[in-house]
Amino acid sequence: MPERWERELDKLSFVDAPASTRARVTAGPRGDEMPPSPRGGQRVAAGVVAFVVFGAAAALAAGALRSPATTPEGSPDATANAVQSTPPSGGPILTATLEAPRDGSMPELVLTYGGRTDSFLATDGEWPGVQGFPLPIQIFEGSLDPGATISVESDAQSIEARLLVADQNQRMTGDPIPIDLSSGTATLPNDAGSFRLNLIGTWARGSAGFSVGITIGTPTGAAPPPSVIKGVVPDVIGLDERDAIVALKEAGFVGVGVFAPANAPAGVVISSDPPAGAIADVRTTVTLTVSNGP
Amino acid sequence: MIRAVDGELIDDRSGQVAEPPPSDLDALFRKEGDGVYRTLYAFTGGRADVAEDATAEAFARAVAQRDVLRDPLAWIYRVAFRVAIDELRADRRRGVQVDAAVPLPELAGLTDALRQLSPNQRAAIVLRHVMDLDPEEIAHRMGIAQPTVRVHLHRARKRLRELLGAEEVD
Repeated sequence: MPERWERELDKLSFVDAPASTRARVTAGPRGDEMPPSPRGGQRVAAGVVAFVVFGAAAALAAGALRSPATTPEGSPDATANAVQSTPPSGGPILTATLEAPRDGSMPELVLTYGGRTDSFLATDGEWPGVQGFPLPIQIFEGSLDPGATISVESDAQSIEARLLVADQNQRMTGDPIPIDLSSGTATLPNDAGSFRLNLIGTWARGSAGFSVGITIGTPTGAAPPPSVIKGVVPDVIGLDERDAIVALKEAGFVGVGVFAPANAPAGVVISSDPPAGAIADVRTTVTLTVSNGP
Repeated sequence: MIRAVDGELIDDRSGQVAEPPPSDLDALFRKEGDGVYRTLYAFTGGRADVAEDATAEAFARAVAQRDVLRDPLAWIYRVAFRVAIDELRADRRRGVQVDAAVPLPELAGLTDALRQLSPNQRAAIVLRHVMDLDPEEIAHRMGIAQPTVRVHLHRARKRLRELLGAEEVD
């Protein structure tokens, strides 16, 4: 039987769009100051930055680059368009899937692509039925050259990595090979082919998000210097403080609110420092000025 | 985060057998327009005017861009959220009180409770419990990460239980 709140919520099932909506669709978009491009807000911009990193990774895999992934400059939209219109020739095709089990077990981020560099961010929070969260397991799949190097940097309290190498039938049936990440860099076994990298990190409960940067270098080059992961500060002005902090977490930043009197409803973010659109290292603390009411 | 990249720029998901959206946006509006409106109605805390405007604007922009959209419905949702946020912000700048919205009388209690939630919590809970979508699809439509959706859902349920009651009803 549903609980009372669910029954209340069900009342929304009877809310339909007014008949006038259809006519307004037919009349076309307003064409006012709002951007016509398909963008899902600043949260998508964070994903766009990630894609740029992937794009650099593809170029790296194609041998076009011998340096670690570079950080995009300029507006995220412009950069994304550039990447979209000029995919690295011969580069691998990115397929990314995000999976979270529905049985309450650990969340799992699965990336499958032939590139060599990745960076990803997620958020922590309250996970009903999950003990010890955040303790995300990250799995990274791709193909590797013999003797490739891997370096991992993260803000985890501890992180361990295990490698599964596919056999000739592309099955990963062997025992996982532990990788010593204590020095931050490891050289992978001399087995070319597909692999799956499992990263198991432990982050302090309540930590503001987590980040892991992975760079897999080519066997010919020296171990790449650790790349600095940057992100675009999202526009959170006008959001509730809690939503603003979640949005910042998604983009990799740490939001901290300070209260100030303002002519805005209490709890609403009225400014941020660094401001929206700024490019900053992830894990930078973004100070949010939150109205405590007029 | 990855979903947004995946869906908007590349859309190379494999192994997923999803119902293809109607290629005809008019059909899509007939099928999904009420759902978008319903979600935006909750998202805006019962602002019927903003919900209608955001729904119409999102579909209208989709029509204008239909040749380049790979997943029109998810795109429409995200644009609608964006338009609604912009309009609510503009209202705040103009000093319009949210309480000025007149909810449907039978929804007054629910609307009051929803206003105690953050907009994202409202959207997530409606997509889950009214639209019956799974967290993966909710994340796709809201343009946010799936773990974040679960956090929003968890907090929204907890708050609605406190506000509206947890006892089971027939």
